[in-house]
Amino acid sequence: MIASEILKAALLGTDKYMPQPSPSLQETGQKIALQHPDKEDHFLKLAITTLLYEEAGRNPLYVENTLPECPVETLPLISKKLHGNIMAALISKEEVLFQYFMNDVNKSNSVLTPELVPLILNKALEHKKSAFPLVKACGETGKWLCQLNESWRILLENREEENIWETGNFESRKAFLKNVRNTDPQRAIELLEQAISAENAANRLALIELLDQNLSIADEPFLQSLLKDKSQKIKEAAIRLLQKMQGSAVNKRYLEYLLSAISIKEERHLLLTKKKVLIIRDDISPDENLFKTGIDKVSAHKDVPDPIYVTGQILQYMDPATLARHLNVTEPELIRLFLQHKDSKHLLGYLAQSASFFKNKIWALALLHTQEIQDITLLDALTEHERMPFYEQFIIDSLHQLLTYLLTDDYSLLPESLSERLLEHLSKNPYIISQPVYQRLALHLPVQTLSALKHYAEDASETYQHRYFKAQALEMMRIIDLKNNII
Amino acid sequence: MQYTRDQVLQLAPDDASAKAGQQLANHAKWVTKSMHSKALWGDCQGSGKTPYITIIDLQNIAFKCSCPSRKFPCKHGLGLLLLYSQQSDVFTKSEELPQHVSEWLNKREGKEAAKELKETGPPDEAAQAKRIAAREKKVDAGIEELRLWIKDAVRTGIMNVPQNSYRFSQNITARMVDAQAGGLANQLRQIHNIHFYEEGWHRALIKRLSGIYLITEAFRHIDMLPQEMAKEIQTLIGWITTKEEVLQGTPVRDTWVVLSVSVTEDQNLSTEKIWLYSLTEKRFALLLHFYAASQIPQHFLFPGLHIEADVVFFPGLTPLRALIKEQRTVPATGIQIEADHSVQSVYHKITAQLAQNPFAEQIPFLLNNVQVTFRDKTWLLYDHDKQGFAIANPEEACWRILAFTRGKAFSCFGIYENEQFSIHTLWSPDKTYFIK
Repeated sequence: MIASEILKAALLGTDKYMPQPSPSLQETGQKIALQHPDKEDHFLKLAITTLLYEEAGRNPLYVENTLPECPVETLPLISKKLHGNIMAALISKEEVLFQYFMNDVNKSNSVLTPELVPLILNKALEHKKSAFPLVKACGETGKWLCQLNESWRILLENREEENIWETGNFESRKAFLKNVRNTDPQRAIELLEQAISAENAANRLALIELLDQNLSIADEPFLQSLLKDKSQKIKEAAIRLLQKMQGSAVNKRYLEYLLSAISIKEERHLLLTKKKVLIIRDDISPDENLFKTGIDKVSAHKDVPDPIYVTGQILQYMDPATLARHLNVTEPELIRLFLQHKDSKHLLGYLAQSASFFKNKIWALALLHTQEIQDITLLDALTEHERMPFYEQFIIDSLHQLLTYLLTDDYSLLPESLSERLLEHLSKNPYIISQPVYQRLALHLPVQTLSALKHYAEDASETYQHRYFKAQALEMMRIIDLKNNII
Repeated sequence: MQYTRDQVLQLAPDDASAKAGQQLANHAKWVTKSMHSKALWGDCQGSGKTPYITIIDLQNIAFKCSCPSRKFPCKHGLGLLLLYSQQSDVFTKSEELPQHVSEWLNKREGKEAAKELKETGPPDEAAQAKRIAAREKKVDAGIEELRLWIKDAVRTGIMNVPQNSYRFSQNITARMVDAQAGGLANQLRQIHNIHFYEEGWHRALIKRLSGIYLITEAFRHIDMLPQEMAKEIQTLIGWITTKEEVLQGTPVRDTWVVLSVSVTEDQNLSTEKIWLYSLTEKRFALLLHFYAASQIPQHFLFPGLHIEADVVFFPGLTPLRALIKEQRTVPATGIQIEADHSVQSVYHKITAQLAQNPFAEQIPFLLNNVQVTFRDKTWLLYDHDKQGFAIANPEEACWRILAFTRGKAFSCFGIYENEQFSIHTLWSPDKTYFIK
């Protein structure tokens, strides 16, 4: 480097070191030397001449390593409009809209424009749990960039599952176990048996609660072993699972008690017809051991008789199909008999829990039709289509839970009447949900609701509550418009 | 002219305004919204009883709104233009301009004409000469002090400067301001931009110090210099060529493409650099705008915009800095410019430019058919002969460049500055990408 002498002198100072001009600048150096009033003047002129001379004489580098070209995208690119919307959602940090647009990209089997890909990959890194759809939307460009960029490479790697269980963080281990429990329930028990002793109480509890899914008699030995756990919460969690487990020792005792306490008799009706009635005996006392399994002995409500209270508690752990079979009646008949019982109002909550846990459609439908019980979990026993007529009855009392059923990942549109009922309720209680939930709801509203929204947006009332809902209505209108103008 | 959503968002003064503007791009929020080939206007229902009246000049993009916002354009202006870019069908087409719109448009046209009249008036040469004489005295004294300071610095060596880099040039910079040598003060301020914790700081510092010394040396012999060089030196010292003087110059009338818009901030002063390129004359122009903290941009030029304009250049050896005398937006669909294909040509241009003007700070370049790659952490741009240079864009921007190009050849506009190359704009046959 011809400037090295200059740089050395600059660092040390001209008092300590005075550079000589480089061979190619000898002539210029001499000219400068001739006119110098002092050595600093000489140095500074030589310095700028040398540095400029070196800069002006530079040549390009020879580039040896080049990158492979990105494979051709097999899927079409998103429209310019959608590109603009995604970019705008990223700039303004509108997470709800961003997720919707990404869903739209994947649903339409298209891929993001290349310039969006790095932004989306960075976003995927921030939210690794939900990274898959984002990486998918990045198409071939995303895969290609992930192979080249060390930070993004992790998004493509399928980590060894066993590694996740052994070395992953607790959240990923929990997700892993949940997945195993859904696909291979027994394997989940095996994994827990090996690892449970090494976990702390809070983690043990969280992992055991995952066994609620696909609970079967095969889980009983493991759950029985947990009854010796030193943590009271773990014992209680194990008991809760054993109570619900059809065929477990605890559940068998429950069934024995129910069969002794409940009977179905035929009674004459108007001397002509026979009518079945369900009788809950109040003279049968359960075995004392039963009360050690989490069943309360005495009702806390004076209106609820103790035998009804005990029977109710046990009924919630009994599969309606099993009970009907043992009582020699059909499931519809059994629920009808329960509903006709004089103390049915005290039993409805327990029956609903049983219907929802054991996903008993017949009981769930019967209970939903009574209107006397407002247990939204009954919807779990129904298909999405079957749930539709019942949604409206939960708007007032269970709006938050209702929205978890309505605001689905496929952004399906809600029926017009349901949408309008929801808006009507929200207009009276605008603070019941947060702004992101309003945005999310807007994505499920059909375009026909625009007129209703316009009505709220034009509300002349100046109360704070009305103005707030008015703002939400306008925002929902914007989102509906945006959604319908993507293409 | 139809603006895209991206282009409109680029006009937003900040992200918050962009977000608020998007929320107002909702036809329900506009009590009325109308369009005409010259303008858009609408009434937006805000929190008060009276709607805000918003007007947009579509011919020479400008905004007017009755809202009290100090941001410019305000969210209503952005919202209305965004709505127009997304759903122009919801606007009522109007053959006639309403009175308040036509009044504003006429007033704008009147202002432009008045500005031109004022700007093209003859300069007062006597007063100018008097001012220069008075100032020269002050500048001379300042320059002598500066030369002494630089000599002292190199006599003792710059080895310890990084330990106290901020204070190193603080006093002498202030002295140059007092001496009315603002250009030299700016040169000294550039020392703060040196990365003293990175390899090569000593080269950058000595180059800056010796470069400033060379300016002062040239100033001492200014009478012996050619006119353009003398003007260049005067500008570097801090003599400002007034806007009026510049506007008297011969304009270059052409279709100009806005290649990039960038803003840097330093001590409450924002400097906006807008690079233009003329399609016929094949010439670069740099518009420089300075804004104090509370000021707002008064123009609406965004990357990719094509304008038919009369551009006048500030005098100098290699004139780049310019002013727009008159402009009119023309429709365009991205950037397509024929340029050199070889990296060597950029090096030749740098050599030629430095030979002609050793004080050249920024050298713009255009290249067609180049690619990017990286080795370790260094990103390189190279041509079909595999001749290349390292690019100084931040790593995150380099990944965006790679994503946009997908490893294929592309065209670009970049700047050579402080011995580094940075890429500002890329384009392929069908798309343009601006690196902010």
